[in-house]
Amino acid sequence: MIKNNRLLGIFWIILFTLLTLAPILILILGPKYSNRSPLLDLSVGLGFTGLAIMALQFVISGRIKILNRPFGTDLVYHFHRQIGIAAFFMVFAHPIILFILDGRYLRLLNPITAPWRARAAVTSILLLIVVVLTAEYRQKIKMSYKLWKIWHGILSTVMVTLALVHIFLVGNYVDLPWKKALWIGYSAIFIGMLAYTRIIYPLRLIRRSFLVKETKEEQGDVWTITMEPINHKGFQFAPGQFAWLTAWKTPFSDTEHPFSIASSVERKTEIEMSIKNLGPFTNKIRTLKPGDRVYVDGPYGAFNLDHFPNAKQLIFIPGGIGVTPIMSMLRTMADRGDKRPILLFYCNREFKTVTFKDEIKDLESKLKLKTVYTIEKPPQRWEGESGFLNKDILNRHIPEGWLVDGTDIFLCGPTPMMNAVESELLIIGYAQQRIHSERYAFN
Amino acid sequence: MRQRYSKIYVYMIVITAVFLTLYFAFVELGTT
Repeated sequence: MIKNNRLLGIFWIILFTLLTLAPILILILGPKYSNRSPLLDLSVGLGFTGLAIMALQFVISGRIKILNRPFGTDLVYHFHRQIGIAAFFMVFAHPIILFILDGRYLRLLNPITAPWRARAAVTSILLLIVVVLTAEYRQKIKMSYKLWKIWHGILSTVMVTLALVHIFLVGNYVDLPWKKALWIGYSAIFIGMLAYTRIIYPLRLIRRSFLVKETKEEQGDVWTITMEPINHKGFQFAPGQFAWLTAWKTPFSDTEHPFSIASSVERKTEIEMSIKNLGPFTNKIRTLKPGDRVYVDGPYGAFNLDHFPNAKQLIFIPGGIGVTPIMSMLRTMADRGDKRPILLFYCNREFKTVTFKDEIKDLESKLKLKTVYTIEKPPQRWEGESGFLNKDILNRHIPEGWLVDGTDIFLCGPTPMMNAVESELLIIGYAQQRIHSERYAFN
Repeated sequence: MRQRYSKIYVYMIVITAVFLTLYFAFVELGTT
C-alpha cells in the first residue's frame, strides 16, 4: 500500500510538473516569433505558467481522494497555498514587465478606452489580488471562514475564466491549433473540476448520506454523534483519519467541517465523531437528534496508524480534543486484540474536563497501555505530571529501549503544542520520520 | 515537519518555470 502510494505520489508530481511547464515548453518548441522582444516573451511565459497553475489549483483543492492519498490532505493544502502565492507573482509579473517594456501598455488600464481583452485581464488581476490577500490575511481582517470560503471559490472561478478569455482574445501565442488545444485543455480541466466539485460530488454525497443514530454528552463540553449509512455500506477508514461533516444543510451549501473519526475501524459501518464546543457550528452539534440526516465525506488524512504496521511500540501524544483520532487508534487496537505496548501522554488544561478518561481506564485493562496525564493547571494534591509536556516528563516515562528503534509517535493537538512537543522529541533523539502529525494551520 | 516537503517542490517548480521562461525569452532568439 505504502509502495503503491509512493508510486502514485511520484506519478502525480510528474504529471503536475508537466502540466505546469507545458505552456512554456510548447513556446520553446516554437515556432518563434522573430519580431518579438525578449521581455515580451518573458512576460507572456510567466503569465502562461502562472495561469496554468491557477487552473490546476481547482484540481489540487478539489479534495480528490486518489490525489490526496499519497501526500496527506494537510500537505496538499499547504501546497495549494504555496504554489498559489508563486503563481500570483508569476501572473503579476506579466503586466509589470509589459509596462517596463513599453509605457503605452499603461493605456490598457483605462477601462473606458481599453479593448475587451485588456478589460478581462485587468479585472482578472484585480480579482487575483483580492483572492490572495483575503486568503493570507483572512484572520487579520476578521473575515469569517465561511464567508471567505464561498468568496474564495467564486472569485477564483471568475478570475481564471477572465484570464482564459484574455488569452483567447489576444490570440498571439495561441494561434497554432496545438497551442490552442493546450489552452482549451486547461479550460476543460478547470470547467470539469468546477462541475465535479460543485455538482457531481455533492450529488454523490446526497445519495450516500448518513443517519444520526445517537448523540451523547462527554466530559469537557464534547458531544459524540454516532452515524450510520443509509442504504449503502459507508466507507472504510483507517484509525486516525478524518471526514468532512455537513449537517442541517445539503453538500451543495459548501459548509462542511472537518472532524476526526473517533470510533474503531472494526465497527465497519457505524462511525463516531466526538466534537468539542468551540464555535457556532460545534455548539449546535448537541441539537442533532437520532434520525437526523447528515452528510459525511471521507476518509481523508495521512495521520494513520495502519501506515506503520512495523511499529514495535507506540507513543500517543494528544492535546485536548486532539484525543479523538487517538481514541480511534486505541479502540481499533482493542478490537483487534493488538498487544503492542502503548504509552499515552494525554495533555490537558484541567483534569476535571479530560474527555474519555473513564474509557481510557477501561482500555488500560484491554491493551498494553500506560497513561500519563499532563495537566497544565493541576488540582490540589495532584501527584501526576503538570505544566506542559517536556523532555523531562517524556524521559521519566518512556522506557529506555524505546529510543533505539521501532517506536512510532503520533502527535495531535493545537499547533503550538505540537511544535513544542515535536522539538522536545527531536532533542531526546527521536527521528523526524518517526513523529507523525498533521498540521492545517498555515502560520 | 512534513509541510517542508511541499515547499521544496514549489521552489523546484518555480525555479524550473522561470529558467525555462528565461531560456524561451533570451536564448532562442533568431529562430523562426
